Amino acid sequence: MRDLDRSRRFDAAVMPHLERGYALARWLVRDPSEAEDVVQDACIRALKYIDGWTGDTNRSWFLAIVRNAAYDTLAKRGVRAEVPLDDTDLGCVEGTPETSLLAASDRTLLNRLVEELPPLFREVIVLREVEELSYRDIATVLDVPVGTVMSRLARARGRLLVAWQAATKTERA
Amino acid sequence: MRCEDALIQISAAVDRELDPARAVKLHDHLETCPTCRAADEQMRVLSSTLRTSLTQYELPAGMAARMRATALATPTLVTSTTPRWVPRASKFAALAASWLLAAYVGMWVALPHMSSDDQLVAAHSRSLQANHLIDVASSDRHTVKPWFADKLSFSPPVVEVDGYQLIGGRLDVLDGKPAAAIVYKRRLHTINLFAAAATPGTTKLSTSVRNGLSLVHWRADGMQMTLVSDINQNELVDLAHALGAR
Repeated sequence: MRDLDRSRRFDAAVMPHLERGYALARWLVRDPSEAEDVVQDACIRALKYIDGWTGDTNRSWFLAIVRNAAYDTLAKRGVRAEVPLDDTDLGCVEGTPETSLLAASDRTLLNRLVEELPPLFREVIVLREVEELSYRDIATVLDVPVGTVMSRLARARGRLLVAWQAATKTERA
Repeated sequence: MRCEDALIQISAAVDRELDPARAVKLHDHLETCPTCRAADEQMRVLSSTLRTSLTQYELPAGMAARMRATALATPTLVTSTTPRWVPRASKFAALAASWLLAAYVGMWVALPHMSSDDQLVAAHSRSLQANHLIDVASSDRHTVKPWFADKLSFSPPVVEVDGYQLIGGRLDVLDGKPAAAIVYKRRLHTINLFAAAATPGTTKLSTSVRNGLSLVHWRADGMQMTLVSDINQNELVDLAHALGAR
Protein backbone atom coordinates (compact mmCIF):
# COMPACT_ATOMS: atom_id res chain seq x y z
CA MET A 1 0.00 0.00 0.00
CA ARG A 2 2.69 2.34 1.10
CA ASP A 3 4.76 1.64 -2.01
CA LEU A 4 1.80 2.21 -4.26
CA ASP A 5 1.17 5.52 -2.54
CA ARG A 6 4.80 6.52 -2.91
CA SER A 7 4.91 5.82 -6.61
CA ARG A 8 1.64 7.67 -7.16
CA ARG A 9 2.93 10.72 -5.33
CA PHE A 10 6.21 10.54 -7.19
CA ASP A 11 4.40 10.36 -10.52
CA ALA A 12 2.33 13.41 -9.64
CA ALA A 13 5.01 15.56 -8.04
CA VAL A 14 8.18 14.74 -9.93
CA MET A 15 7.59 13.12 -13.30
CA PRO A 16 5.93 16.15 -14.95
CA HIS A 17 9.00 18.27 -14.18
CA LEU A 18 11.72 15.75 -14.94
CA GLU A 19 12.68 17.22 -18.30
CA ARG A 20 12.87 20.76 -16.95
CA GLY A 21 14.96 19.48 -14.07
CA TYR A 22 17.29 17.75 -16.49
CA ALA A 23 17.66 20.92 -18.58
CA LEU A 24 18.58 22.96 -15.50
CA ALA A 25 21.05 20.28 -14.38
CA ARG A 26 22.62 20.23 -17.87
CA TRP A 27 23.10 23.97 -17.78
CA LEU A 28 24.54 23.91 -14.28
CA VAL A 29 26.92 20.94 -14.37
CA ARG A 30 27.49 21.07 -18.18
CA ASP A 31 27.92 17.34 -18.61
CA PRO A 32 25.22 14.94 -19.82
CA SER A 33 26.01 11.98 -17.59
CA GLU A 34 26.65 14.11 -14.53
CA ALA A 35 23.39 15.93 -15.19
CA GLU A 36 21.66 12.56 -15.20
CA ASP A 37 23.25 11.71 -11.84
CA VAL A 38 22.10 15.06 -10.48
CA VAL A 39 18.51 14.43 -11.56
CA GLN A 40 18.63 10.92 -10.11
CA ASP A 41 19.85 12.33 -6.83
CA ALA A 42 17.11 14.97 -6.97
CA CYS A 43 14.45 12.31 -7.58
CA ILE A 44 15.56 10.40 -4.50
CA ARG A 45 15.64 13.58 -2.43
CA ALA A 46 12.23 14.63 -3.75
CA LEU A 47 10.77 11.30 -2.69
CA LYS A 48 12.30 11.76 0.73
CA TYR A 49 10.90 15.28 1.20
CA ILE A 50 7.49 14.63 -0.32
CA ASP A 51 6.00 13.41 2.96
CA GLY A 52 7.09 16.37 5.01
CA TRP A 53 6.43 19.03 2.38
CA THR A 54 3.36 21.18 2.98
CA GLY A 55 3.60 23.55 0.03
CA ASP A 56 2.86 22.86 -3.63
CA THR A 57 4.98 20.23 -5.24
CA ASN A 58 5.21 22.27 -8.41
CA ARG A 59 7.94 22.88 -10.93
CA SER A 60 9.79 25.40 -8.74
CA TRP A 61 9.80 22.89 -5.89
CA PHE A 62 11.47 20.24 -8.01
CA LEU A 63 13.85 22.70 -9.70
CA ALA A 64 14.98 23.86 -6.26
CA ILE A 65 15.83 20.27 -5.35
CA VAL A 66 17.65 19.75 -8.66
CA ARG A 67 19.56 22.96 -8.10
CA ASN A 68 20.71 21.87 -4.63
CA ALA A 69 21.81 18.51 -6.01
CA ALA A 70 23.66 20.25 -8.86
CA TYR A 71 25.51 22.55 -6.46
CA ASP A 72 26.56 19.53 -4.40
CA THR A 73 28.09 18.11 -7.58
CA LEU A 74 29.76 21.43 -8.39
CA ALA A 75 31.09 21.65 -4.83
CA LYS A 76 32.78 18.27 -5.27
CA ARG A 77 34.54 19.78 -8.28
CA GLY A 78 35.60 22.72 -6.14
CA VAL A 79 33.25 25.17 -7.86
CA ARG A 80 31.91 27.60 -5.30
CA ALA A 81 28.52 29.21 -5.60
CA GLU A 82 29.40 32.83 -5.14
CA VAL A 83 28.19 36.02 -6.69
CA PRO A 84 31.28 37.79 -8.07
CA LEU A 85 32.04 40.87 -6.04
CA ASP A 86 33.28 43.16 -8.81
CA ASP A 87 30.55 45.49 -9.92
CA THR A 88 32.40 46.87 -12.91
CA ASP A 89 30.13 44.98 -15.26
CA LEU A 90 27.13 46.82 -13.88
CA GLY A 91 28.10 50.16 -15.34
CA CYS A 92 26.17 51.44 -18.29
CA VAL A 93 26.92 49.49 -21.38
CA GLU A 94 28.94 51.87 -23.49
CA GLY A 95 28.00 53.17 -26.84
CA THR A 96 24.98 52.83 -29.05
CA PRO A 97 23.81 49.47 -30.28
CA GLU A 98 25.67 48.59 -33.42
CA THR A 99 23.74 46.81 -36.09
CA SER A 100 26.65 44.45 -36.62
CA LEU A 101 26.42 43.41 -32.97
CA LEU A 102 22.72 42.90 -33.15
CA ALA A 103 22.96 40.90 -36.34
CA ALA A 104 25.61 38.60 -34.99
CA SER A 105 23.10 36.44 -33.18
CA ASP A 106 25.39 33.50 -33.16
CA ARG A 107 23.79 30.57 -31.35
CA THR A 108 27.08 28.86 -30.56
CA LEU A 109 28.68 32.04 -29.29
CA LEU A 110 25.79 32.92 -26.98
CA ASN A 111 25.57 29.38 -25.62
CA ARG A 112 29.28 29.50 -24.86
CA LEU A 113 29.04 32.91 -23.20
CA VAL A 114 26.20 31.70 -20.96
CA GLU A 115 28.15 28.55 -20.09
CA GLU A 116 31.11 30.71 -19.09
CA LEU A 117 29.07 32.75 -16.61
CA PRO A 118 29.55 31.92 -12.91
CA PRO A 119 26.83 29.41 -11.88
CA LEU A 120 24.80 31.92 -9.87
CA PHE A 121 24.55 34.18 -12.91
CA ARG A 122 24.12 31.32 -15.36
CA GLU A 123 21.16 29.88 -13.47
CA VAL A 124 19.13 33.12 -13.44
CA ILE A 125 19.62 33.48 -17.18
CA VAL A 126 18.54 29.87 -17.75
CA LEU A 127 15.57 30.05 -15.37
CA ARG A 128 14.40 33.25 -17.05
CA GLU A 129 15.22 32.80 -20.74
CA VAL A 130 14.97 29.01 -21.10
CA GLU A 131 12.50 28.04 -18.39
CA GLU A 132 10.64 31.35 -18.68
CA LEU A 133 9.87 31.43 -14.96
CA SER A 134 8.51 34.55 -13.28
CA TYR A 135 10.76 36.42 -10.84
CA ARG A 136 8.67 35.05 -8.00
CA ASP A 137 9.18 31.46 -9.15
CA ILE A 138 12.91 32.03 -9.69
CA ALA A 139 13.04 33.42 -6.15
CA THR A 140 11.45 30.19 -4.91
CA VAL A 141 13.95 28.04 -6.77
CA LEU A 142 16.93 30.05 -5.53
CA ASP A 143 15.42 30.67 -2.07
CA VAL A 144 16.27 34.36 -2.23
CA PRO A 145 14.11 37.53 -2.23
CA VAL A 146 12.63 38.72 -5.54
CA GLY A 147 14.83 41.83 -5.36
CA THR A 148 17.90 39.62 -5.43
CA VAL A 149 16.59 37.85 -8.53
CA MET A 150 16.09 41.24 -10.18
CA SER A 151 19.58 42.55 -9.49
CA ARG A 152 21.32 39.25 -10.20
CA LEU A 153 19.57 38.93 -13.54
CA ALA A 154 20.51 42.49 -14.47
CA ARG A 155 24.14 41.88 -13.56
CA ALA A 156 24.21 38.60 -15.46
CA ARG A 157 22.78 40.34 -18.52
CA GLY A 158 25.25 43.20 -18.14
CA ARG A 159 28.11 40.69 -18.16
CA LEU A 160 26.70 38.88 -21.15
CA LEU A 161 26.33 42.12 -23.09
CA VAL A 162 29.91 43.12 -22.38
CA ALA A 163 31.20 39.66 -23.30
CA TRP A 164 29.02 39.52 -26.40
CA GLN A 165 30.28 42.90 -27.53
CA ALA A 166 33.89 41.93 -26.88
CA ALA A 167 33.53 38.62 -28.74
CA THR A 168 31.87 40.27 -31.71
CA LYS A 169 34.60 42.91 -31.87
CA THR A 170 37.34 40.25 -31.85
CA GLU A 171 35.55 38.36 -34.59
CA ARG A 172 35.45 41.43 -36.79
CA ALA A 173 39.07 42.39 -36.09
CA MET B 1 18.03 58.17 -11.36
CA ARG B 2 21.55 56.78 -11.47
CA CYS B 3 22.42 54.85 -14.61
CA GLU B 4 23.53 51.91 -12.48
CA ASP B 5 20.09 51.65 -10.84
CA ALA B 6 18.49 52.16 -14.21
CA LEU B 7 20.20 49.06 -15.58
CA ILE B 8 18.51 46.81 -12.99
CA GLN B 9 15.15 48.36 -13.79
CA ILE B 10 15.73 48.17 -17.53
CA SER B 11 16.36 44.47 -17.11
CA ALA B 12 13.20 44.05 -15.01
CA ALA B 13 11.19 46.08 -17.50
CA VAL B 14 12.29 43.76 -20.32
CA ASP B 15 10.70 40.94 -18.30
CA ARG B 16 7.60 43.04 -17.48
CA GLU B 17 8.45 42.58 -13.82
CA LEU B 18 8.80 46.27 -12.94
CA ASP B 19 6.03 47.80 -10.83
CA PRO B 20 4.11 50.64 -12.54
CA ALA B 21 5.49 53.46 -10.36
CA ARG B 22 9.10 52.57 -11.13
CA ALA B 23 8.26 51.89 -14.76
CA VAL B 24 7.09 55.49 -15.10
CA LYS B 25 10.29 56.81 -13.51
CA LEU B 26 12.38 54.61 -15.75
CA HIS B 27 10.49 55.81 -18.80
CA ASP B 28 11.25 59.43 -17.82
CA HIS B 29 14.91 58.59 -17.34
CA LEU B 30 15.18 56.90 -20.72
CA GLU B 31 13.74 60.02 -22.34
CA THR B 32 16.68 62.05 -21.08
CA CYS B 33 19.56 59.53 -21.11
CA PRO B 34 20.73 58.24 -24.50
CA THR B 35 23.21 55.85 -22.86
CA CYS B 36 20.49 54.07 -20.89
CA ARG B 37 18.21 54.13 -23.92
CA ALA B 38 20.92 52.23 -25.77
CA ALA B 39 21.27 49.82 -22.86
CA ASP B 40 17.51 49.28 -22.90
CA GLU B 41 17.62 48.43 -26.59
CA GLN B 42 20.54 46.05 -26.08
CA MET B 43 18.90 44.29 -23.13
CA ARG B 44 15.81 43.63 -25.22
CA VAL B 45 17.85 42.29 -28.11
CA LEU B 46 19.90 40.14 -25.75
CA SER B 47 16.84 38.68 -24.05
CA SER B 48 15.01 37.82 -27.26
CA THR B 49 18.17 36.44 -28.88
CA LEU B 50 18.87 34.26 -25.83
CA ARG B 51 15.36 32.87 -26.00
CA THR B 52 15.85 31.67 -29.53
CA SER B 53 19.51 30.67 -29.14
CA LEU B 54 19.93 28.85 -25.84
CA THR B 55 19.84 25.07 -26.10
CA GLN B 56 16.61 23.45 -24.96
CA TYR B 57 17.92 20.19 -23.56
CA GLU B 58 15.59 17.24 -23.90
CA LEU B 59 15.38 14.18 -21.75
CA PRO B 60 17.52 11.37 -23.16
CA ALA B 61 15.53 8.32 -24.26
CA GLY B 62 14.65 5.98 -21.43
CA MET B 63 15.94 8.33 -18.76
CA ALA B 64 12.53 9.03 -17.21
CA ALA B 65 11.86 5.33 -16.63
CA ARG B 66 15.36 4.83 -15.21
CA MET B 67 15.02 7.76 -12.82
CA ARG B 68 11.64 6.58 -11.62
CA ALA B 69 12.67 2.97 -11.07
CA THR B 70 15.83 3.85 -9.16
CA ALA B 71 14.16 6.48 -7.00
CA LEU B 72 11.28 4.22 -6.02
CA ALA B 73 13.67 1.37 -5.26
CA THR B 74 15.65 3.58 -2.87
CA PRO B 75 14.44 3.30 0.71
CA THR B 76 13.43 6.56 2.32
CA LEU B 77 14.44 7.56 5.82
CA VAL B 78 11.06 8.48 7.09
CA THR B 79 10.22 6.01 9.83
CA SER B 80 12.33 5.60 12.91
CA THR B 81 11.02 2.64 14.86
CA THR B 82 8.73 0.74 12.53
CA PRO B 83 8.94 -2.84 13.74
CA ARG B 84 10.37 -5.37 11.36
CA TRP B 85 7.27 -7.53 11.20
CA VAL B 86 5.05 -4.80 9.80
CA PRO B 87 5.87 -5.11 6.11
CA ARG B 88 5.47 -8.87 6.23
CA ALA B 89 2.24 -8.69 8.18
CA SER B 90 0.70 -6.13 5.88
CA LYS B 91 1.48 -8.35 2.92
CA PHE B 92 -0.90 -10.95 4.31
CA ALA B 93 -3.42 -8.59 5.80
CA ALA B 94 -6.59 -7.70 4.01
CA LEU B 95 -6.74 -4.29 2.40
CA ALA B 96 -8.80 -2.72 5.17
CA ALA B 97 -6.64 -4.24 7.85
CA SER B 98 -3.48 -2.87 6.31
CA TRP B 99 -4.93 0.61 6.29
CA LEU B 100 -5.68 0.30 10.00
CA LEU B 101 -2.23 -1.06 10.60
CA ALA B 102 -0.66 1.81 8.69
CA ALA B 103 -2.55 4.32 10.81
CA TYR B 104 -1.54 2.50 13.96
CA VAL B 105 2.11 2.32 12.94
CA GLY B 106 1.99 6.00 12.02
CA MET B 107 0.86 6.85 15.55
CA TRP B 108 3.38 4.56 17.06
CA VAL B 109 6.21 6.04 15.06
CA ALA B 110 5.24 9.50 16.23
CA LEU B 111 5.23 8.54 19.90
CA PRO B 112 8.85 7.77 20.79
CA HIS B 113 10.09 11.31 20.24
CA MET B 114 11.10 12.61 23.63
CA SER B 115 9.07 15.77 23.25
CA SER B 116 6.02 16.36 21.17
CA ASP B 117 6.34 18.45 18.04
CA ASP B 118 4.12 21.05 19.66
CA GLN B 119 6.51 21.50 22.56
CA LEU B 120 9.48 21.77 20.25
CA VAL B 121 7.74 24.26 18.01
CA ALA B 122 6.69 26.28 21.06
CA ALA B 123 10.27 26.27 22.35
CA HIS B 124 11.54 27.37 18.94
CA SER B 125 8.98 30.19 18.69
CA ARG B 126 9.71 31.28 22.25
CA SER B 127 13.38 31.54 21.43
CA LEU B 128 12.60 33.91 18.56
CA GLN B 129 10.22 36.14 20.49
CA ALA B 130 11.53 36.62 23.96
CA ASN B 131 14.92 38.05 23.07
CA HIS B 132 16.25 34.92 24.64
CA LEU B 133 17.69 33.14 21.65
CA ILE B 134 21.09 32.52 23.17
CA ASP B 135 22.63 32.42 26.63
CA VAL B 136 26.13 32.06 25.30
CA ALA B 137 26.87 33.87 22.07
CA SER B 138 29.73 32.41 20.13
CA SER B 139 30.50 31.04 16.73
CA ASP B 140 33.23 28.96 18.32
CA ARG B 141 32.23 25.48 19.43
CA HIS B 142 35.07 25.49 21.94
CA THR B 143 33.24 28.24 23.79
CA VAL B 144 29.71 26.85 23.49
CA LYS B 145 30.41 23.25 24.41
CA PRO B 146 32.15 23.88 27.78
CA TRP B 147 29.38 26.29 28.68
CA PHE B 148 26.89 23.42 28.56
CA ALA B 149 29.19 21.10 30.46
CA ASP B 150 28.51 22.81 33.82
CA LYS B 151 24.78 22.84 33.32
CA LEU B 152 23.73 19.50 31.86
CA SER B 153 24.22 15.86 32.77
CA PHE B 154 24.75 15.00 29.10
CA SER B 155 27.04 16.46 26.51
CA PRO B 156 25.22 17.97 23.54
CA PRO B 157 27.06 18.03 20.23
CA VAL B 158 28.30 21.47 19.25
CA VAL B 159 29.57 21.33 15.72
CA GLU B 160 30.48 23.98 13.19
CA VAL B 161 28.88 23.19 9.84
CA ASP B 162 29.69 24.77 6.48
CA GLY B 163 26.88 26.96 5.28
CA TYR B 164 25.23 27.11 8.69
CA GLN B 165 26.46 29.77 11.05
CA LEU B 166 26.77 28.67 14.66
CA ILE B 167 25.68 31.62 16.76
CA GLY B 168 25.48 30.17 20.25
CA GLY B 169 23.59 28.05 22.75
CA ARG B 170 21.08 28.31 25.54
CA LEU B 171 19.37 26.19 28.13
CA ASP B 172 15.77 25.28 27.46
CA VAL B 173 13.19 23.03 29.05
CA LEU B 174 11.37 20.23 27.26
CA ASP B 175 8.95 17.88 29.02
CA GLY B 176 9.98 19.53 32.26
CA LYS B 177 13.57 18.44 31.79
CA PRO B 178 16.61 20.53 30.93
CA ALA B 179 17.57 20.53 27.28
CA ALA B 180 20.33 22.12 25.28
CA ALA B 181 19.42 24.40 22.41
CA ILE B 182 22.20 25.06 19.93
CA VAL B 183 21.40 27.88 17.56
CA TYR B 184 22.42 28.17 13.93
CA LYS B 185 21.62 30.79 11.33
CA ARG B 186 21.23 30.18 7.64
CA ARG B 187 20.61 33.31 5.64
CA LEU B 188 17.86 35.05 7.63
CA HIS B 189 16.54 31.85 9.17
CA THR B 190 17.08 30.69 12.72
CA ILE B 191 17.58 27.00 13.41
CA ASN B 192 17.27 25.49 16.87
CA LEU B 193 18.95 22.17 17.55
CA PHE B 194 17.39 20.71 20.69
CA ALA B 195 19.21 17.96 22.52
CA ALA B 196 17.69 16.19 25.54
CA ALA B 197 18.76 13.12 27.50
CA ALA B 198 17.14 9.94 26.17
CA THR B 199 17.46 6.21 26.48
CA PRO B 200 20.57 4.85 24.78
CA GLY B 201 20.30 3.80 21.20
CA THR B 202 20.27 5.25 17.75
CA THR B 203 17.37 5.97 15.46
CA LYS B 204 17.41 7.06 11.85
CA LEU B 205 16.20 10.54 11.15
CA SER B 206 12.55 11.23 10.63
CA THR B 207 10.86 14.43 9.58
CA SER B 208 7.66 16.20 10.46
CA VAL B 209 6.01 19.54 9.85
CA ARG B 210 4.12 21.57 12.42
CA ASN B 211 2.67 25.07 12.00
CA GLY B 212 4.71 25.55 8.85
CA LEU B 213 7.95 24.72 10.64
CA SER B 214 10.06 21.75 9.66
CA LEU B 215 11.31 19.31 12.26
CA VAL B 216 13.96 16.64 11.91
CA HIS B 217 14.32 14.06 14.68
CA TRP B 218 16.89 11.43 15.44
CA ARG B 219 18.45 9.77 18.45
CA ALA B 220 22.15 9.23 18.99
CA ASP B 221 24.58 8.90 21.88
CA GLY B 222 21.82 8.77 24.46
CA MET B 223 20.27 12.01 23.28
CA GLN B 224 17.07 12.82 21.46
CA MET B 225 17.94 15.44 18.87
CA THR B 226 15.51 17.68 17.02
CA LEU B 227 16.14 20.44 14.52
CA VAL B 228 13.39 23.05 14.19
CA SER B 229 13.31 25.85 11.66
CA ASP B 230 11.38 27.58 8.93
CA ILE B 231 13.99 26.78 6.28
CA ASN B 232 13.33 24.16 3.63
CA GLN B 233 13.09 20.69 5.03
CA ASN B 234 15.83 19.52 2.65
CA GLU B 235 18.28 22.04 4.10
CA LEU B 236 17.35 20.91 7.58
CA VAL B 237 17.93 17.28 6.59
CA ASP B 238 21.30 18.27 5.13
CA LEU B 239 22.22 19.88 8.44
CA ALA B 240 21.08 16.77 10.33
CA HIS B 241 23.35 14.68 8.14
CA ALA B 242 26.23 17.04 8.79
CA LEU B 243 25.53 16.62 12.50
CA GLY B 244 25.88 12.87 12.18
CA ALA B 245 22.26 11.74 11.73
CA ARG B 246 21.73 8.76 9.49
